[in-house]
Amino acid sequence: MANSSRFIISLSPSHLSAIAVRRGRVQQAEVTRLNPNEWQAHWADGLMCLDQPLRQILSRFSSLPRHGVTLIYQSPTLTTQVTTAEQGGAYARETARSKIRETVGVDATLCVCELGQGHAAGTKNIMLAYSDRDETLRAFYAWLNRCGIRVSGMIPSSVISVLCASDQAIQDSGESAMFYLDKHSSVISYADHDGHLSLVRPADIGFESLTDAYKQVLREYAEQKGEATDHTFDLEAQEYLFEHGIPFQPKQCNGIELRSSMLPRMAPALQRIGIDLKQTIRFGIKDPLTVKNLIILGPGGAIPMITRAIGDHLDLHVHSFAGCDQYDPACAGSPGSTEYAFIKMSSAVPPLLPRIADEERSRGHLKKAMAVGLALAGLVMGGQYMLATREVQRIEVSMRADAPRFDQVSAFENASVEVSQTQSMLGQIANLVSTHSSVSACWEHPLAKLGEITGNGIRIQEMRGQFDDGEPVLKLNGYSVATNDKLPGQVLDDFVADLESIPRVQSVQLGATTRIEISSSNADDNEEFEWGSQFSLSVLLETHTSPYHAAAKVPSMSDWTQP
Amino acid sequence: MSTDLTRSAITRIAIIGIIAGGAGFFFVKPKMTAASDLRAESERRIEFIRAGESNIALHQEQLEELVSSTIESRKAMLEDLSPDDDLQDQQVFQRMAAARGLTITRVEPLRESSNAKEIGEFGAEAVILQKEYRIECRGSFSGLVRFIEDIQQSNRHMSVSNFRLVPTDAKRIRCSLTISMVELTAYPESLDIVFNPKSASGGAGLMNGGEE
Repeated sequence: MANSSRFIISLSPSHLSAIAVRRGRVQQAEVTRLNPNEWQAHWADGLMCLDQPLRQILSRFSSLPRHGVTLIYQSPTLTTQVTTAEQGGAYARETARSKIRETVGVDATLCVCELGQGHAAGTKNIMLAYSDRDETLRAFYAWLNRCGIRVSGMIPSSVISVLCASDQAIQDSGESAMFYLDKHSSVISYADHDGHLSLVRPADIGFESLTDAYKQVLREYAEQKGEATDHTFDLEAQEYLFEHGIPFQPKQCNGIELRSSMLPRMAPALQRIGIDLKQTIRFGIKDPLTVKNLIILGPGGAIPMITRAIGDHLDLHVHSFAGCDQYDPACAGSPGSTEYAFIKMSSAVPPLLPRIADEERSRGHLKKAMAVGLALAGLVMGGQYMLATREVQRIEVSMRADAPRFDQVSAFENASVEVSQTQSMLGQIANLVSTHSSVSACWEHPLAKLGEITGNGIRIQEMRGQFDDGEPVLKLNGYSVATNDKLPGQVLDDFVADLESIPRVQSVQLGATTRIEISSSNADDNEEFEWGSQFSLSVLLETHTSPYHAAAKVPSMSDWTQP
Repeated sequence: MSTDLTRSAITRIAIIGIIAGGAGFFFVKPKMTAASDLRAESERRIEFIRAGESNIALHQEQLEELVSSTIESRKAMLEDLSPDDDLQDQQVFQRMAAARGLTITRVEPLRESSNAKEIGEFGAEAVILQKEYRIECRGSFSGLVRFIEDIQQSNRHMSVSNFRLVPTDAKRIRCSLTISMVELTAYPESLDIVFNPKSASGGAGLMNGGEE
């Protein structure tokens, strides 16, 4: 475990402690003693009674981590199994899992970890499986939550004992067997010369049985002195044990002769431990003769004279693990303690968690995943929105830059369309006018000329202008008279010739001519008669070319002017 | 994962999905659509400008000539066919006759009819009014000739349809004429607007040069 900063809470029937660890070193440790006799009551109360002690301990820390807290605990409902499998890896894990499920049920929360350094050909794989009841784990979880602690894992202290013993056995493989002696449990482990773990055996006996001897003596002594006997003497007994150990030499302490009073009481427990060790080494190790040493680990290693007491029952050289003598039961996280072993452990320990924590963790992960997903979606959408906005801005700038050219081209195109439309409208109006108006005749010019050529022997009696079959015709009725040198007929002929010579006269059609007698008065008022020639003439004239006839034709625009 | 947690997860995912989808639909998609539309519009404008500038280079002078001639034609036609707002027709005839020394003894409206035709866009109509008058007058022959000439050359497509004259003495005649004319009483408004500097027509720039 190489975490730079950790926070450990340790709960046992006799103490509650909190340890702040940084870079593998204990920075601060706080401990509160608990009455072991109230342990059952604590559980019955759902650990409510432990809220106040934990809060008090936590208040002594300047800063508290809200996450990543590990609980090391002793549980009345823990189930631990060490299994051996011929194969390693997933198969060994599944085998261990299946076996423990036969005990704890299918739905129980359990963990499996491999002891040793992996499977090797021809060796057995030892797996540690452990499980606890969900109610127990939930009680721990609720307790820590009430105190504002978010626990990341719960690890039974007996599991740490097993792991510590296994690790140490591998490190001192070959001739040394390990005996981890804790208060309530112990573990025997051994690794062969190749470093392969061949034996791991937890046992239910711990140094508490030795403490019990001190408790009995202290109680009896108090009774003899007439003091109150409801005191448990747990703390005192433990202090005596770690101070005086196994009293092989006569020794007086507070008026108690330790050797004579203690040894007889300790002997059964020591004998049981010794026999258990002897039998385990004899039957649990393939070649027991290779084992020369027994190293006592854990808190039990700090008990004075414990090596001699156990060594008396074995043909092995028994000694305590280096540093165990520094163990101080009154100080949490001191060398030799389970917490210290956990802090120094090199491999990760799979933690237990109640189902509710798993769900909460899943919910937390789900929330994080959703938040990340939402953030990603927001980023993607925001990015798209920004890209689109920038694209719009870029195009708008480009369009603004092109606006004058666009306006010029638009004006040109509009003008083209409007020219076409206007010419079309003008043409249609001209067509309308020309369709509904009559042809205009060239009356004025022939009439003006006619005024010039009449009077010289020609008398007009009536003149009519009209359209015959759409052609303008000037009809003249009159007569001609003889002049000085011309007869009336000659005068008429000249008149017709003059008419024909008038511009815009198409033709002159002479009608009926009649010789008539014309009376006139002379200077003496005598009536005279002369001959004349009465005529009728039709003069066919040209027509004006109306501008509307020309414009009536709708102009055909060139293709480029069409929209 | 428990059923409640699964349900909760599905609900949250659905809500987040709906929110994300809604935000995308209501904010991002319209923006992207607008950008896409604007891009297409920009490409269309660029193509329009490119083709238009090519057209301008080739046909600018031609169009200016066309605009100029169109403006002149419109001006001539509208001036010729517009009714006289100040004088009635009889007064016009009287003044023209008097100017030529004729005495009008009778002016008689004979016929008046209108004709319409749909021209241009949006169903706009052009309406012409045809009128015919009979005029009786007295005066000199030369005055009559000038009077007829004036009539034939005056606005409103005025023309002499027929006439009859008889001399009353050696220098005077009596004449009866039938005069027909055409007035444009209504035409599409757009005909006035285009190429008119007072209006906001697109061709105003080109028209200015033509009209001035």
